Amino acid sequence: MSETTRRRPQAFTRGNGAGGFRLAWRKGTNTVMLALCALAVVAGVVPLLWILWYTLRQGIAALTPGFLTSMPTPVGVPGGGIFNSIVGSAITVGLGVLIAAPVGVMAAMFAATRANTPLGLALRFGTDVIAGVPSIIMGIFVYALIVLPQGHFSAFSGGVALAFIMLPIIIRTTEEMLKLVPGSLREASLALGATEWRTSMNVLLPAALSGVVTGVMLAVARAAGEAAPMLFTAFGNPFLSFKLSEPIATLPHTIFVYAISPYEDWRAKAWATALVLIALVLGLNVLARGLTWWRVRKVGSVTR
Amino acid sequence: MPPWTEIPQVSPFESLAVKEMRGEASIQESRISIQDVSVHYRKFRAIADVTLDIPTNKVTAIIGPSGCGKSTLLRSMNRMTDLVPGARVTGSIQIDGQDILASSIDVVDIRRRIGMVFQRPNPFPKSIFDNVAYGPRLQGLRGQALQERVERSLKSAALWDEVKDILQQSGLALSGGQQQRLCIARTLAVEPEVILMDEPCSALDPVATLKIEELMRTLTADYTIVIVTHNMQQAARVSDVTAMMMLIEGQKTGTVIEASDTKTIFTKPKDKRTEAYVTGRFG
Repeated sequence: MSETTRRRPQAFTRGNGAGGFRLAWRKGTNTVMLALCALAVVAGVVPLLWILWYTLRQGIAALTPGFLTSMPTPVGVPGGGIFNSIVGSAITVGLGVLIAAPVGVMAAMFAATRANTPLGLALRFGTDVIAGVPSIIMGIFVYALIVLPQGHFSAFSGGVALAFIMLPIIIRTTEEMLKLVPGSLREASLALGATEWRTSMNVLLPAALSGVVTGVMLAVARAAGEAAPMLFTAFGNPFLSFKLSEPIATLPHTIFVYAISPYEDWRAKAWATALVLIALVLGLNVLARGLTWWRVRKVGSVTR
Repeated sequence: MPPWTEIPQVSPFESLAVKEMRGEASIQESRISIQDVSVHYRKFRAIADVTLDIPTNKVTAIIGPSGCGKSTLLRSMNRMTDLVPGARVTGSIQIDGQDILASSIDVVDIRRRIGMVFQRPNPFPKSIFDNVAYGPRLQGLRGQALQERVERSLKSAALWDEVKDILQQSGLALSGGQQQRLCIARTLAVEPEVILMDEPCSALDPVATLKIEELMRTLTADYTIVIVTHNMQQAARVSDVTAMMMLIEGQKTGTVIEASDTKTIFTKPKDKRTEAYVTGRFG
């Protein structure tokens, strides 16, 4: 071992000559910067809390016991609810998941195993581009693609629009989750004489499943709140409908219609619907992240 | 020919033994014949001009200092090098007269016939039964036949007695040595002809290591084993044939400098570098 130069131990008293002032200045800067960062966090969280609080206050007034289960009543008639909007949201979002989840998971499986090939890179680029397309443009696109040829608005076109919006989210989260699965598992499966497809389906996907489900939940939370595409596709419906070929009401679209109406009780109902939607979206997000946190606690990593 | 030499075809994966009984092939001395094999990773040449014969039903050890290409050579034998982007293998590796580096070869079938056990145990996050049954299920085995295959494999891997009551528990709940034996059982379950082992004991404690070395000796009755190890004592204990690999002078490329039966390599090696390595002068 080489010799270390020995230094005379310094006295650790405060204000000890030149060292004291420098140290105090650095400490002071540190405290000020930390305080500014904390302030920034507060500034970011406060609007969220304020929105929640305001919506809660405005919405709770119109939230009657039968709000979630009864049909809308004509203007001026008390009572009434948003049952048709809830059903409509469930149908369109459900259809969107049915289309986007298999396609998204399979695309992600392909991209994850071919990450650095031209096709894999093109897929990732394409996904990012679709993710950035404004949702109203998605709505117009599906309008031109499905509504015009069919000649009428429909729940089906609404579901397709939501599927396009959900697709990039599902692809991205699934791909990230698949990449987190240790490469040794893939090697072990291939070394046993399994094909790439079997390896992806029987080893990689089950290991990443909880993460994939979380991704789908986050995509659902996003799609459930999209109003703009619904203006061109599902179009809204004051009556209860389960048919895919007819227009259908959805929660965000109903908020839009009620909020800009000239009727006081409808505007109050808009707040209540907004409260329901926020509760749904927030609940899904919290559930998704809570599942991830619980998974990490239980198993020690995000994948099994 | 007498009627009892007509062996009915029992499976699409005909073993060499069946073919030999029919007179279509002769069990050769060497199971794998490696000739002038070089492996390039993009521009980097990892191993160059390796010529080696792997004898049937024996344990062949590949030893050498770190970074000389032992694992690369091992992985080229079952085409696992294909998984590395930009990897290129030249030369020929013959098994039963077929060159497995040819592009017409079914890689999936090769990997079933030549199994691999890795350095760190990597059981799937499934139950012990499902781990061992993974391979046979790929081949279409179900029900009673599957149960029997799993039991046979676990017995061959000397793990049956320890896990026969906990088959539904996760494979990850076992100890390191048990997990490695589970991986060996999983490999045995597809009924390979050759088992490649890439430093199988380096992540295990001495007791587990000893168990696996005993296992290797019993397995040579039915399988050909190739093991890469940086532990010379292990190579001396376990192997019948040893191949010494080393980096070529002044390059980062490795090659086999000497290969013969273990006793000769460790007592009267021909190459000076081999002698220096096995006597511990460097490594």
